[in-house]
Amino acid sequence: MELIWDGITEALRLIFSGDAEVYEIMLLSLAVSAAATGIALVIGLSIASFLAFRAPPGRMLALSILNSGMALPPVVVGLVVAVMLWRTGPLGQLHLLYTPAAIVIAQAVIATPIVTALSVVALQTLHPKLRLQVLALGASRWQAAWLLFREARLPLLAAVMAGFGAAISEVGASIMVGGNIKGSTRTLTTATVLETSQGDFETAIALSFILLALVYAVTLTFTIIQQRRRAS
Amino acid sequence: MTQPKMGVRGVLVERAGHRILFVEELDVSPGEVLAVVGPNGAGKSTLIHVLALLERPSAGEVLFDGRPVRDGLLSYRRRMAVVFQEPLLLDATVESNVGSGLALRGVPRAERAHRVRRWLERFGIAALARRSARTLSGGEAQRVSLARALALEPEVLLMDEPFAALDEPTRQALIDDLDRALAETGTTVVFVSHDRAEALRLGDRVAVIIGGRIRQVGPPSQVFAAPADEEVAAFLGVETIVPGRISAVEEGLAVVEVSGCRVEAASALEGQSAGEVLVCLRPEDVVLSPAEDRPAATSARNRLPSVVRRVVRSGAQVRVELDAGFPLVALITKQSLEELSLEAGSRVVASFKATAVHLIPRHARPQSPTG
Amino acid sequence: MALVLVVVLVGLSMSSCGGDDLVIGVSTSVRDTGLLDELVDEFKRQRPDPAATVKPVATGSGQIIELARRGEVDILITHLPEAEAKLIADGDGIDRRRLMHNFFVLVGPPDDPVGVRAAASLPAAFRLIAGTEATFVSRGDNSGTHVRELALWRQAGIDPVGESWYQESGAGQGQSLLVASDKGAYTLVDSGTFVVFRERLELEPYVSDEEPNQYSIIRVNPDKHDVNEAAALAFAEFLTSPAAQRVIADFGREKYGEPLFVPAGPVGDMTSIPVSIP
Repeated sequence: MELIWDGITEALRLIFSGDAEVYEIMLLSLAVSAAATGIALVIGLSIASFLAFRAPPGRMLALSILNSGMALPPVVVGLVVAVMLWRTGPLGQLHLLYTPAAIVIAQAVIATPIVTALSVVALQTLHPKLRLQVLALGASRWQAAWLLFREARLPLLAAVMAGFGAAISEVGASIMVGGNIKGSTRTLTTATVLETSQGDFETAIALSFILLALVYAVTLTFTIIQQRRRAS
Repeated sequence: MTQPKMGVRGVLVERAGHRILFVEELDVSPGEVLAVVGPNGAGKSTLIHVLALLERPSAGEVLFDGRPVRDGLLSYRRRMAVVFQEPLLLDATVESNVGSGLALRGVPRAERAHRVRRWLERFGIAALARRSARTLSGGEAQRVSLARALALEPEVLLMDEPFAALDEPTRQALIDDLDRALAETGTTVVFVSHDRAEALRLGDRVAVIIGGRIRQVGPPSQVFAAPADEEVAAFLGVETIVPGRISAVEEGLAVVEVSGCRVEAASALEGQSAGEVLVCLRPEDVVLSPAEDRPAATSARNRLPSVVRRVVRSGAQVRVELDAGFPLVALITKQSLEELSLEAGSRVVASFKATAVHLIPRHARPQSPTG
Repeated sequence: MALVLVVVLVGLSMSSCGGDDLVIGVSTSVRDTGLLDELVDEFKRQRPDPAATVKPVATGSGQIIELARRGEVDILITHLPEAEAKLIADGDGIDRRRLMHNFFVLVGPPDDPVGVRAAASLPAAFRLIAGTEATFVSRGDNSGTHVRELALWRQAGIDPVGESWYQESGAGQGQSLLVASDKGAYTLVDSGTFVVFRERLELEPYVSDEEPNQYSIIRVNPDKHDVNEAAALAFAEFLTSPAAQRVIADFGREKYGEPLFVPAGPVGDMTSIPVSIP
């Protein structure tokens, strides 16, 4: 218990003393997970729109795969992405392994089924005819998509938050494809694992606390955006 | 005849191997209101979706201004407006909902504000302008939906059961407002409904759709007086519907001239004392008696000497088509038929109470602008 | 949508300076002590060449050797002598150099219930443990430590796998130490990691291995694999230079009071002391 208290104190010290390394790690975590969530959102909304609005045959199968994809183990994702990005792998020519981009890919793979599955649910809360009405009002395909996403923004923001949460809290894949390289691919979670394995539990707890604070800050921002309109 | 504003040719819609809709040919003239009536599941909504270019038919073509619509669907959609049964408003204020279609079509802000204000006022919802659409009642929301569609000043307005979800007084008030607006704008309208009264009230022509096929198209009185087949007759309820004109109101009863005959009606007309109406009469309300009978035998106000044109047996009931100066249909039992020994050419007296007569007001609509 | 993804990836890959990167496979024990970060920092300081992005990747020695066989790393730092020899014999590795060493130590509860402190050698101590069925925690993960531990059991003539007192943690070195400390068990550990964790453990060192725990540098054969030969050679030269050897000799002195590794080469005026065994 004393250790946890020391960890929190250390976290506050690291944050307020402006420790350059910790800030770099924080920013990298934030940037990488935001990019991954962004990619997951683009892919997720596209697939979700198709599944929710077009109701293609095999939708049940697709949805059940997506739903089980929400439980995709990050380590498995990390392994598969790493093998793909190996020099001898199919995407080896991109030279992405052990770069932040590799973590972005792995986290995007983890977040995409979550964002997609929850986006399908979000879009299904809309009246099934609303899309037709919006098109009938004269919306182009993109205008229609934008309007419908705006209509479903409350549950869609929940999908984004869930995707971001999964991305930033993930560790197994980040270590595997990122390599936990100091100053390059070290994120809050991989740094925490490293500090733990180095026996520096105080710093590990401090980093965990910073991660939680960061996730809370981001989620709070989204929640404010989400609930502001609702209140009016 | 002028060139149709819109139409379909050989339109076929199939889903999962089932034929939902097949329309060989259907046209709507500029400025005309075409009412498509039919039972639930007849393919009415599908027809609207096809016309609105929201659903591509498996085969066939949609015509707009005489030309087949093949591509550039968006530009065609931007010349039409669609009102659905549900208001389908966006989560925004009333005024931004009414302006939403205009915004999508790139109408400049000032013009938009102007039109939004005008149509909010036309539908009596100017006071709700800044309210959130979430907080509206069903009737208010459907008014917003109609204002949104008409603010687009579309060349063609398509409506899919726009009043079906509303309660009776709300429905009547909204139909009145819409009728007035349509009369003024001369918009070409196709609207579908399962409700015959709505079709009669708004339609210049009526098309009956059953089982995915248009069975009959024509002026309301013609369609209702002479259903093309039994299914159409069953759906329409074989009513007598004839055009007339109110000539006077006496003792609370409207006196209506119908093809030179005098019909008294107790139908409430909201203060209307003159004008064009449709006279509706259910065949089971018409009683037939031998031509020599004295009037004392019945309390009915309307007694019309008629000639039997045709006798159609269907089950336990018999449908008798009469000429009372106008086409009139009576439904009687087999027993009565034998007692009266009716056949084509027989002379009878058709009588019905003033309360059995239903009057539907008709606004004189401007003729097609091009015609 | 797929297009967006491709654009993003290409953009990211451009920013990561493509094919000039130097991928270093390093045994976890080197990273977990914190030595890896110091060595890489020193390398970058000495050779501020922005064209080569240094990518040290820490994982188990067994896995690193497998990656080397596929040409996925340019150079490796491992402590698996037999597997390293085979890698070179197979033509996948070249230019093996000694980097540093420490010793494997048998550690156990402070009261030493089995009395291993009296044992003359590690195999003898292992026989004592097996004879009394005292709890022993094994890494069980094919790491350098685990491979050495299994060799010692063989020398002792015992096959402990499957015995109730023989527990495989399947975890890293630090985690395994914590497990052993918690269970009051014996375990084999490299002296460097033990020094790092010592304060948190209720474990004492008893018997040191006679053979050093040798860490070696091997370059992946550029004739056989598409690797960054120039950067790998530069890194190998750096690691065996007096400057890097001094980093190794000094590492841990300040924080733990004693160094964690013994450098293989000359370090100037510095002397080094391995972890002391009472």
